[in-house]
Amino acid sequence: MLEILARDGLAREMVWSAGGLRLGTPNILFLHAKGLPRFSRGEAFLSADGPVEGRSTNFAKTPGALAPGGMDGGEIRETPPALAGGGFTLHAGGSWFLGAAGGREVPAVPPFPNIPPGLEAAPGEAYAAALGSFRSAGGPVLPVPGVYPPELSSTGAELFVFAGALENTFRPRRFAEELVRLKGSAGYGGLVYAPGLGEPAHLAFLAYCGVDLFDSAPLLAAARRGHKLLPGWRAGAAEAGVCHCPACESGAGGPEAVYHHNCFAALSELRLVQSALRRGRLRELLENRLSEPWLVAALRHLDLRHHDFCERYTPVARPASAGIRALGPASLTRPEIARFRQRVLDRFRRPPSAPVLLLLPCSARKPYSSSASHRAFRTRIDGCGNPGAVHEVVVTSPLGVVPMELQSFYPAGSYDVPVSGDWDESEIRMVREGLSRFISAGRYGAVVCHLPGMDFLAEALPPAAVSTGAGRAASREALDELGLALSGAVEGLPAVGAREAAAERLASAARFQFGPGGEALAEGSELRRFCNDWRVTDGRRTQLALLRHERGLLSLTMEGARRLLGRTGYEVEIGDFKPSGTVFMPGVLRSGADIRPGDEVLVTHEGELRGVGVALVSSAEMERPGKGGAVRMRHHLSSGEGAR
Amino acid sequence: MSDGGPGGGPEEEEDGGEDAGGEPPERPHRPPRDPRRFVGSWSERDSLDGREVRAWVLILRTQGCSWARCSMCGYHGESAAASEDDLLHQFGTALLRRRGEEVAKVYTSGSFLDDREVPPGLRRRLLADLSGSFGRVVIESRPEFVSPSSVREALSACPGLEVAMGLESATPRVLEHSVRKGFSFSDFERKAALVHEHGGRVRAYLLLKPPFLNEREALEDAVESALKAGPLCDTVSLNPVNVQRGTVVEQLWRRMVFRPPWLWTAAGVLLRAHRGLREAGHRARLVCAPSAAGKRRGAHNCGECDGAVAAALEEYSLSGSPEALEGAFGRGCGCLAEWKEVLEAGRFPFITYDALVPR
Repeated sequence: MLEILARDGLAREMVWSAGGLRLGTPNILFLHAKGLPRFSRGEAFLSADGPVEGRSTNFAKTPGALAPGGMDGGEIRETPPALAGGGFTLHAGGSWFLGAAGGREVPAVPPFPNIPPGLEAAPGEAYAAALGSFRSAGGPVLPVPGVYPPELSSTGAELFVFAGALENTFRPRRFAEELVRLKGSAGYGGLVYAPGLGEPAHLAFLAYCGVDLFDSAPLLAAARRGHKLLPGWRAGAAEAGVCHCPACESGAGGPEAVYHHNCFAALSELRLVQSALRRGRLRELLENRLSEPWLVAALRHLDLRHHDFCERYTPVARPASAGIRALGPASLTRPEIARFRQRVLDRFRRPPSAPVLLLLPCSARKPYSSSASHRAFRTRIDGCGNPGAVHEVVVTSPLGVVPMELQSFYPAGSYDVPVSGDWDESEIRMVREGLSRFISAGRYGAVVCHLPGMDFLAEALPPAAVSTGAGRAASREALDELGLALSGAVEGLPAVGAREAAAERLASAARFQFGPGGEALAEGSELRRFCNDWRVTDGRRTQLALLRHERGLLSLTMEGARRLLGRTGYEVEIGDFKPSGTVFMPGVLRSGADIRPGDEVLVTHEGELRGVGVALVSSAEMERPGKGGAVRMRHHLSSGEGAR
Repeated sequence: MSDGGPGGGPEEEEDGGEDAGGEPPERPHRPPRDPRRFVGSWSERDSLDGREVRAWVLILRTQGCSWARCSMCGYHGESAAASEDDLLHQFGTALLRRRGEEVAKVYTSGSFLDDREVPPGLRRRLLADLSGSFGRVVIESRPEFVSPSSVREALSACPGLEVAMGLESATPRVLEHSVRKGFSFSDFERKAALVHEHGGRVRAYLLLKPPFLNEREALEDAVESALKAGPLCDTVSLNPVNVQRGTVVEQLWRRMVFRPPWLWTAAGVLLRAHRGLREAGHRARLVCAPSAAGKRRGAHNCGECDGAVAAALEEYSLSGSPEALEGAFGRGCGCLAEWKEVLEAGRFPFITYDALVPR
C-alpha cells in the first residue's frame, strides 16, 4: 500500500506498507548478505539472507514538516503517526538464469532477465516470458528492464525496479529518456528503485527525478576502491579529519570502515534530501550537488528535452518564503522558470490603455515595488502626467520579462539571483529573445528603456526607443531623465483613470494565471492594496479575489469563481456531493489539463459551482486512479462568500 | 597453453590505448579474408594419457559457422569462401609448421563436420592423414552435424577421434537467452552418446560468464554445467568469455556493464567441478586456458596476480592435480577479498555490480 505525504515536482515523500512493515521514502536499502560488511544504522535493507532486524523508519519523527499544500501559506503539518518498528527488508529473489525458485519472502525483487534492450534476438522475449510469472505471483515488486509493456501502472505493482538506471549514468541522454518513460508508465505514485545507485552525490538528483529507493552497492564498491564519499567530493581512504561521522571518529581503517563512512555520508545526505523535499526546495539542493558531469548532463536533458513531462508535476506556486535561488546556468532551465517565461509569451496581454512600455531593472527586494529604487521610479511615473498609460516591465535574469502586474506571482515574487552586473551569453540570449518577442506582441506605441548597463539589449528594442539613465538607475539625474522621457512619451495620449488602469492590470494578471477567460474577473473591479497584498472587489462591497504576495497567485472567493465559471481550464469536475475540507481523488471525475499543484481551481458538478480551492496535485495525477487529497477547499456552497 | 579452444591463442590481439572512461570508437571493417590462408596455427602444451606433450593447432578458414548467432562469438568475422582446393592448401601450409607434436587440433570457425564448410571427401582425407601421424586428433562441431553417418565416417577414417562440441552451458535459460546457442542440453547428451557408441571421445566446451550473468551466476552456472556434462565427456574445457569484436558481449563491455570473468572465478570453477566429479567417480579431464588472460578483453584479476593465477590454471590443466589451484588460493592476493565481495554482491542479480568495479 502506498501513501504520498509530500510532493516536490516528480519527487515524493511516501510511505510504503509491504510485508507487514512500513517504509518511508526516499530511502536507502543497505545490503545484507553474509560475506559483505554490514551497516545496521539504516532503516531499510536489501537482503539475500532473510529478514533483518533494525531500527524503525524515523522520518516521521522529524518535526515541522510542511504540508503538501504548503504553498498556500506554509502551514505546519501534524507529525504523522509513529511507524511500525523493525528494519524494513526488501528481499533478493535470486537468479532468473539459473532458474532459482524465488523465496516466499515479501516484498522481494523477483528473478528476472536483466537484458538491456537491443541485445536480444527478439527484444523483451525473455522478459515477456518472465512477466507472466510476475503477474501470476502478484508480488508488489516489478522489475523493469529496457523493454516492457506501456502501462506498468495497470500491473498492480507498487515498486518498479529501474533496471537500466546504473548502466545509463554513463549515457545521460538515455538516462533521462528511460526515466521519463518509466515514470510515465508506472504512474506518478509508483515507487521507483534504482539498483546500484545511491552515492551521496547522486541522491538529491535521483530523488528530484522521482527515484524513491537506492542501495548501498555503490558505497561498497567505492569503499573497496578506497573512496570516502561525500556529497560533492571523493576523499581518499587515508585522509584523516575530512569527516566526523562515527565510522571516521572510531579511527578504524580498512575497506569496512570506509564502507561505514560511506553509509553514514549517504544517510546524512538522505536526511537533507528528505528535508528539502518537504520544504519544496529539492531543486535548490540538487543544483548544489551538481558535482559530476553526468548529473549536469542528465539534468539538462530533463530540463530541455523533457520539460513538458517534468513541468506537469511542478508546483505553480510555492510560499514566497521558499523562493527560488537561481545561482547558475542550471537554474535558467528549471521548470518553474521556463514555464513563467513561456506563459508571459503565451498568455499575457498588456493593458490596452498603456501603449508606453517602460523597461526597468529588477531589485533584490521582492516584490519589486517595495524596493527603494522602484519607489523612486514610482514617483517619476506618477509624476509624468498620465501614469495609467505607462506599462512597467522589469527585465531580469533568469525570468526574462516580468510585467509589473505579475511581480507577486511565483516565482517572480520570490526569486533570488547573484547580482554582479555580469551577464553570460546564455542569459543575454534568453532575455533578448524574450524581450523582442514581448515587444512585438505588445504593439507598444513607445518604449522607454531605463536599464543602465544593459546595452546588450539594444538590438531587441525598436529604433525609436528612448534610453534613459546612465550609470545608476536610481540616481537623481537618471530619475530626472526618466521623468522627462515618460512625460514626452505619454504626451497626447488619452488620460487613463486610476481605477481603469488598475482593472486592466488585474485583467492581465488574471489572464496570466487562468488563461484568456481569466479576464472576466476584472470587469468593473476595484483594487485595494494593503502592504504587499491586493484585494479585488466588484466595486461595491463584494470581494472577488485576493492576491497575496506570500502565495504568489490570485485566491478566489465564491463570487470571483462564479465570474470564471465555464471560462477557464481550471475546473475540477466532481461527483454529486457537497465538497468541504478536502476533495479526495476518487471524487474527481475530470480536471483541466493545465492544473498544477498549487493552482486555484473551481470545483464543479455538471456546470454548477460547488466551491473553490487549491489543487494539491497535478491534473495528470488526478486523472489516475488513486487516493489522497486532490483539492483543498477554501470556499464551498454553504459557506459564507465574503472575505476569507 | 594446453588448449587454445577454437580461435583462442596467440592470434588474439589486445586492444590497447582506450580510455577507461569513454566508449572506444568502432574499428573500421577489416579487409576481405584470403581463402588461401588459414586463420591461425600454433603449437601449445597439452597432455596425452597422463604425459605432457605438445599439440599442433590449426584453425581453417572456411565459409563460416552455419549458426553464427551466439552472443559471445566473433569468429564469423573470419570466414571466406574457401574451395576444397583452398582448404587443402591451408592444411598443407600449416602442416609444414609441425615440429613433432603428438596431438592435432583442427578447428574451423564453425563445424568441422558441416559439409558446407568442409566437404565430406576432403574431410575423410584430412582425418585419415592426421590419424596416421598423430597420437590424438581433436575436431569441433555443432551437435546438429554430429549425425550417425558423419560420426561413422569420421571415426572410421580416424579411430579414437575426439569430437568437441560447444555446449557452453547445461542451464536451459543460459543456453537460450544468454548464449543463444540454438540447441539444448539433451541434443548434446544424445550426440555425445552417439560419438561414444562409435568409439570416439567427447569434449565439451563450457563458457565461463556468458553475457547478462554476473560473476556469481557465472560461477554457479559453470560448476553446475561441468558437473552435468562431465559424466558424458572425456574432456571438459572451460572457456572464460573474452570480449570479441562485433559481439553482444562487446556491446555490453562498451556500455561498461560487462567485465570479463576473474581468473579467480575460473580457478574456483575448476576446483569445485574437480572435487564434485571425482567424488562422484567420474574421470573426465578438466582444462582451462583463458584467451587473452590478464588483458582487458580477457579473463583477468587485478593486474598483480594475473600471471600467477593463469599459470596455476595451466598447471592444473596439464597435471589434473588440484594442488596447483589450492596453492594459488593459498598464496592469495590483495584482490582476493574484492573478488569475494563481487561474488557476494552477485546475490543481488538486479544490481549490475560489474558496472561499479573497474573493468
